[in-house]
Amino acid sequence: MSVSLRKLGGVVVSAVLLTLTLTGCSSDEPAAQGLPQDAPATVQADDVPISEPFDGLRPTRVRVPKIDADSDLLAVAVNGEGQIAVPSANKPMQAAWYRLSPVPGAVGPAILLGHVDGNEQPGIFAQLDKLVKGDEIIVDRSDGQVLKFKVDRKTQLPKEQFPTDAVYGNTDKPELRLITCGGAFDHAAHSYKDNVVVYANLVSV
Amino acid sequence: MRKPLGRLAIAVLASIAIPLAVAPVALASAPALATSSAVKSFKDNAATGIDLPNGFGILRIASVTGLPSQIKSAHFDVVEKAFQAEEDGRYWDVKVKLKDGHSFKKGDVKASWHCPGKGHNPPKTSSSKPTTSSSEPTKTSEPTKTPEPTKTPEPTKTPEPTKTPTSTEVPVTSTTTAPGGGDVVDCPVRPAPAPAPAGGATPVTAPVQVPFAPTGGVETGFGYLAG
Repeated sequence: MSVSLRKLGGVVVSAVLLTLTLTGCSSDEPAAQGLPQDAPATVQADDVPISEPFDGLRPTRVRVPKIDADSDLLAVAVNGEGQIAVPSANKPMQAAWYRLSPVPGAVGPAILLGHVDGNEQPGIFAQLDKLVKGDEIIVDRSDGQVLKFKVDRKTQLPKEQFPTDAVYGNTDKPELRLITCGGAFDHAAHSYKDNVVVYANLVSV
Repeated sequence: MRKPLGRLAIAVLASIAIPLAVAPVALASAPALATSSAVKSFKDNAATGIDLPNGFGILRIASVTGLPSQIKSAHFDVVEKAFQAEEDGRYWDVKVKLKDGHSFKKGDVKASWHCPGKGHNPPKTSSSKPTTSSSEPTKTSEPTKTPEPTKTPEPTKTPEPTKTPTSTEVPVTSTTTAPGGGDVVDCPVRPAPAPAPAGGATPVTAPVQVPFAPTGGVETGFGYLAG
């Protein structure tokens, strides 16, 4: 019986894959990036290659030596729910720059985001809460500049008490914010209860 | 025991075989592939809008087949080319300048656009009747209505770097394809916070450095480290 079920499972999987394959060539116009045009609901976030990334001045890489974090940076904006978009959970080692914040090195709070975990592994900012005042953060930019920031302080607060003004409010000098999740995990909400925010100041270019 | 299993197998196979015959339709609702909330809620060829300060906004268009073009609206001007959402390439973000009195939050912004591979039905005779009449059925407040998207736009506008929309493409795209360009729906929008107080904070009159500041935290974890 178990053999029959296994066979059945195999047939189901094969059929679904076949279906996917078939729909990939059903259009009258070449699909961008070879995607199936008639079945957009099946196209997942990671399936679509990025062909038109943000091409303005941007940070390209972040490194935090103390916690061995090193990632290139996506430019993200706001998702349809009005939240900051974050990298795919399937890529927990991927960090991102919030494109609606200043470019690191410009006056204001530049926002970088990273997962604490995802896809059943630790994320790029899993150790963010280990940072202390004076720790170094290095950011590369698309214009070739390499910026060095030093941690000024760190907070960990429940998400309902997220320090919106402190994180996003205007500053009079170039600053950096690194944000991730922390605290206890709420299994019902499938979400960590806190956010960890590291505040850093530019020290050299 | 064997018989029910056999029936089950036949039923499952039949449910697969039927969609195979009309694959595009069946796939559009293939629930087995929806493994995350993002997938479940994804709707192609639809848009949401976020208000930014000073009358600007971001229009986010879902277009899995590539760069949307011919983005038009009587309620905003496109001020920047579309960039692909790098965390999810199915979406495209377009900065817009909303016209007086309109905001995404109010839900009164409508637009049309063209996604590659969609709306390529042969232009119909009805295309001479622009879409706006159907997409804005109840509008009575504006005396100068019937803002036809087919009209020649202001010369200073350069919303699309690639090609100039034709008079037939726009109406066909936005009205005759089922999910085509249409209403820009509202989404939760919060105003950017006031400048940080004290500590050398900039004057209140300074431009807001982070024009859209969501409240309530950022979701960047999935429980693995929680054990």
